[in-house]
Amino acid sequence: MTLALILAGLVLVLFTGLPIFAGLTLFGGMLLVVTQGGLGSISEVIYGELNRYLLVAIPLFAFMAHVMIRSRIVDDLYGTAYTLTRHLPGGVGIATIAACTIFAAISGSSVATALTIGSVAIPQMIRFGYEPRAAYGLVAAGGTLGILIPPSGPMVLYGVVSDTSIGALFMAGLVPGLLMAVIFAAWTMGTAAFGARKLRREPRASLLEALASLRKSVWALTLPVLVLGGMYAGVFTATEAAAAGAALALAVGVIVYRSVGWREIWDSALDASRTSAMLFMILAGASVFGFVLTKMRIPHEIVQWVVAQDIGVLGFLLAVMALIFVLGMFLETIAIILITTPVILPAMAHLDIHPIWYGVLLMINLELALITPPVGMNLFTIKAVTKAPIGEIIRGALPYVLLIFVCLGLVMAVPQLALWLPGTMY
Amino acid sequence: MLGPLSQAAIGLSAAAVLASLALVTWAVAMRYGLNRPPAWVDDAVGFLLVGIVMLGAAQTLRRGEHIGVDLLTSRLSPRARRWADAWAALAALAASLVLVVNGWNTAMFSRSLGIVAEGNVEIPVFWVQLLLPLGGLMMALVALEALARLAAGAPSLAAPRESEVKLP
Repeated sequence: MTLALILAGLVLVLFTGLPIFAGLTLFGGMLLVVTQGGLGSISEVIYGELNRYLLVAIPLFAFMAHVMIRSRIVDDLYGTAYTLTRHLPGGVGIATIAACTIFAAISGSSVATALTIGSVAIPQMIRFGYEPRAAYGLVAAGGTLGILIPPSGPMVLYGVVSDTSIGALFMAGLVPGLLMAVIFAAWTMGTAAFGARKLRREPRASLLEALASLRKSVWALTLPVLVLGGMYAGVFTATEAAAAGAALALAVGVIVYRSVGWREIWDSALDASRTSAMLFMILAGASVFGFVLTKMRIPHEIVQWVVAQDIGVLGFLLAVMALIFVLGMFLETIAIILITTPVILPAMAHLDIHPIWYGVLLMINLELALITPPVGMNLFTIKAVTKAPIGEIIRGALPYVLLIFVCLGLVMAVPQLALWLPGTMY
Repeated sequence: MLGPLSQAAIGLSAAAVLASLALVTWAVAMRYGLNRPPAWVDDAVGFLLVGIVMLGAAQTLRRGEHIGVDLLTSRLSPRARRWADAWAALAALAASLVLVVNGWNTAMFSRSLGIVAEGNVEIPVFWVQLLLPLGGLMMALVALEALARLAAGAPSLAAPRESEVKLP
């Protein structure tokens, strides 16, 4: 009950439009003053949260993504995906999903994926006869794969907050991420084959043509292999994999594409520092908020409530997923991870819920947060790219909300979808 | 005056990103190439991360890139929206001042006890902790600038706009 009141109060404060980091710091600080009589040494808590080697992966992955965006890699990637799928019903849509999937494995960010692929793919899809609404929805949803398919900035944050292996989390997201991409592709193919609109189809690419287009994208495809393969084989930690990926992205941009020079490197570093400052200031505020909740013994209260209600693993997960879905309609994904995870961890441990499995469920649920109104970052991103009315984009994304729910249900029913791959690691 | 200051700070922050990349890459090369992993790199990049965040936060605020929920405020009349922007700047100012005062006290406390960083880089920890009040001070100045602009009838630079994604 106390937690419900505190969360409701926090959401109300955030709705007044202040920066989320300020809302968390001030609301958490106010609770500290009221319940503990002062702020104590919260700066030490913030310092402890920020001074972590593992978190350095986030600016390095952000730098890697910004360097890749500044090279011509996305055009080549989309061209290859299109060449390989153009003969299928809804081929251009499937190419868009394939490009989103691979770019998700490069960028680690859903917004970056929707933004980058959207600007290339949406005009192309409309040209091929797609209803604009369907094109907006597909890219908004395809972009959400960015946080589930590794590397993923939100997964790094969840891993650090929950003290879970980031490498194992990354591997755990891979199979559900690919499963979701297949579900999206099947939906796209089905609606193209049986829908009322006639979509343009092109003849199948010859083997030579397919190989030539694959050759163009070889660097885009090498990057995820280096980053994920390196972690899977135990060669790199997450931070080292991010550095290796960033170094390769630099080499590709400078030497192969010759489109990245000093200016682009510096701009990418500036973008990475602003992204990091934004994310980690929320982490700083959330650490104050989490600190006061721990002082108030809220996580302990939740454990007691779970024991008293005897709701079991499924009941608990359903309740938490429902809460996160509702929060996701209004709050940004990072804030949700940082606010909810420390509070429910003890209850998860009590119920013996695998933190890696939960991490994947959380990421899938947060994908919903990105495309559910009224606040959905990918909806806003598509609006920024296309200038289309937000209502059209929301309607276009609606079928994908249901498909993501299907995927969430599958991973909840079959935990091995998430847990199998990390179980085979080094 | 404030513009060049926050730009210089984020320049240092970007340099810290590149330095982190160089250090981690070098550490990997040393481990696999010469079998001599430098143990201090992990600690050093942790310190650099504090710098990346605290030196980048002011310019990020100045560009309105610290996200907030503008679901309700984006529907307000221009006049009411200015009040909402003022509230956002005031909140950023208050949160920044918490960092300045509490961060300074923490750093000075560490200094008085002579606490050194745990791990392989045994420097006095207050030097790194001072980044918190420094970052807070720069953000406070940016928030004050936003308030001054609003009072003069100009738009705030620091108001969060979640629903307006900026294109690169």
